[in-house]
Amino acid sequence: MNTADVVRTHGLTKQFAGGLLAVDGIDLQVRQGDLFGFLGPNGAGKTTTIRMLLGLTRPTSGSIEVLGHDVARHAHDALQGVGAMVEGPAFYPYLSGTRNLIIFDGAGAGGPRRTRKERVREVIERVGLADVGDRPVKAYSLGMRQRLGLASALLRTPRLLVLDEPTNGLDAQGIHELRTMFVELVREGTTIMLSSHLLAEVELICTRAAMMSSGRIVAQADVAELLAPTGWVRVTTPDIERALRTLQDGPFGYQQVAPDLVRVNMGDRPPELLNRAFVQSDIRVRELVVERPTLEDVFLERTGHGDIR
Amino acid sequence: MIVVELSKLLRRPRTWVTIALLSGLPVIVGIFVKTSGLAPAPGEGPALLSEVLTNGLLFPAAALAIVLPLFLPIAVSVIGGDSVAGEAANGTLRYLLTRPVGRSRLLVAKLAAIVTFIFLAVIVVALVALAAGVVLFGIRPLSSISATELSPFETFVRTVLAITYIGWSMLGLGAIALFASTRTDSPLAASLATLAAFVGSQVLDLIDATKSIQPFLPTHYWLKFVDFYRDPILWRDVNEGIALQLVYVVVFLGAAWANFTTKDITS
Repeated sequence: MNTADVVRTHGLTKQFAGGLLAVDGIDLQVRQGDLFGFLGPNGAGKTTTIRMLLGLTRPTSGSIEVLGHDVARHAHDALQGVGAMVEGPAFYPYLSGTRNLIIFDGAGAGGPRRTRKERVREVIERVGLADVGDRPVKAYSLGMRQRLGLASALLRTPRLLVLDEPTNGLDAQGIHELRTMFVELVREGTTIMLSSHLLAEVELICTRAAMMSSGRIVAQADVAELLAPTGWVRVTTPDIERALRTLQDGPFGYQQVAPDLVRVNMGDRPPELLNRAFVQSDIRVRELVVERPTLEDVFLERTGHGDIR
Repeated sequence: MIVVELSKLLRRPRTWVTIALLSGLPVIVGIFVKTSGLAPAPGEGPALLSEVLTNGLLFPAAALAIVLPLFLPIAVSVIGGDSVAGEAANGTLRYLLTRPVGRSRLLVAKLAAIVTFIFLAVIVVALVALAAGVVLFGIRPLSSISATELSPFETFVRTVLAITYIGWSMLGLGAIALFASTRTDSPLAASLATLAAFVGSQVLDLIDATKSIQPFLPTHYWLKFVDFYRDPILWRDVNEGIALQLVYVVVFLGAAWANFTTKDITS
């Protein structure tokens, strides 16, 4: 195994007692320093996978290594360096936010008791809850609970953060703050594995992504690679008739999609060739755009539920 | 982890409400007995209540006899049934286990919290009853059930022994509750299952046809705490009761452990 891998699974499979094959032989690889997007629609098997990574659920077959430890045999060692938020935050509603964090910090092999209050204050300030830390959690809004859940995951400065749908219930401002915090954490050396069904959200910040559908991984690569140009170029021009004539004589496939817009399939060739050809023919180019897929496009293509426009 | 569980138990308002209610009932009974001057005839009503009119020192024991047959087991079922299933229903179980807290350690901590609750409850009930008893009925040397006289100090020692025995008697039920609590994600279901075990045991203990299994029922020796007020103390049944509770704890803690440590946590 590559020592820089923070999570690595091999042939990971979970079949539930009812026969449902929730996860079907997946090989995940999260590297040190990744901001890893774990994507897929609801019911794709993301949460089941995360539960297995965290030792909550036993795999039917396959192996999992987290931070270099085999989860099946040494879950305790593996989880020492992990902070997690799975399927929404959960707290003791009758206790204050601060008291909840003190309890979670004290559970298991927490840090030294002497510095506990200090650690709790640090994370609660980091998520912006310092003002309401003394209120009972039952008085918290969904967004505040979400932040407190994140604070709990950040206790003890984990090397790996596993966050399941962390932006659920947050407003636009909250989501933006969270994204900024994720980028900051990764800069500080934390590896983040972020599951989401909102592909656009992940597209904005993740450096690497895996996509799951019906228990299988349909794509796993750097986001830059997944979002590589499709080879199509869109050209907007007022001289559409002459542009089409020029293209007719050229080697590229093309299709007109609007009165002043044509899509050209450049394949591997650089798009500037097209611009030069148009300019040389004295065709006015108003706009020339290299087409890139969204993660949604990639997902739909890989699952065969559609194709790129 | 035990410290964490105890802190959760003691900071939970429900714990203290339950104990307050448990302590309140005997006081109400005591006030009515005092004002009406009508103690139950010897042999009727809760054990020892017939004696308290003559001696307040006996009131703690009478108070425990009042809560022992029903209210104390209900409280133990609710607290015990909630211990793991409540965490599961609340969602906090997955966060405790990924801290990580080992599953065996969590079970032991939960059992420790249940035991703490039991002893806390019986001690508070006894102390409240002692205060109420002294105020309502005053202190006098006590006639033991065996008609010899016990000094106030001797009575105190006997009462401490009786309280300990009653607390100990709840351990079996507590272990059953803990086991039920690992079998379901619903604290209500776990508590009701424990109550069902308790009621079932009581029913089987009542009828002649089941005489052969009665010595093995978890509730069978509960009321034997009155043997501490005989002179000399009658140890035979008490000892069997203590040993029987231990067997229930070992069996059900083992079952809870086998179940919980291999279980998929899907809550």
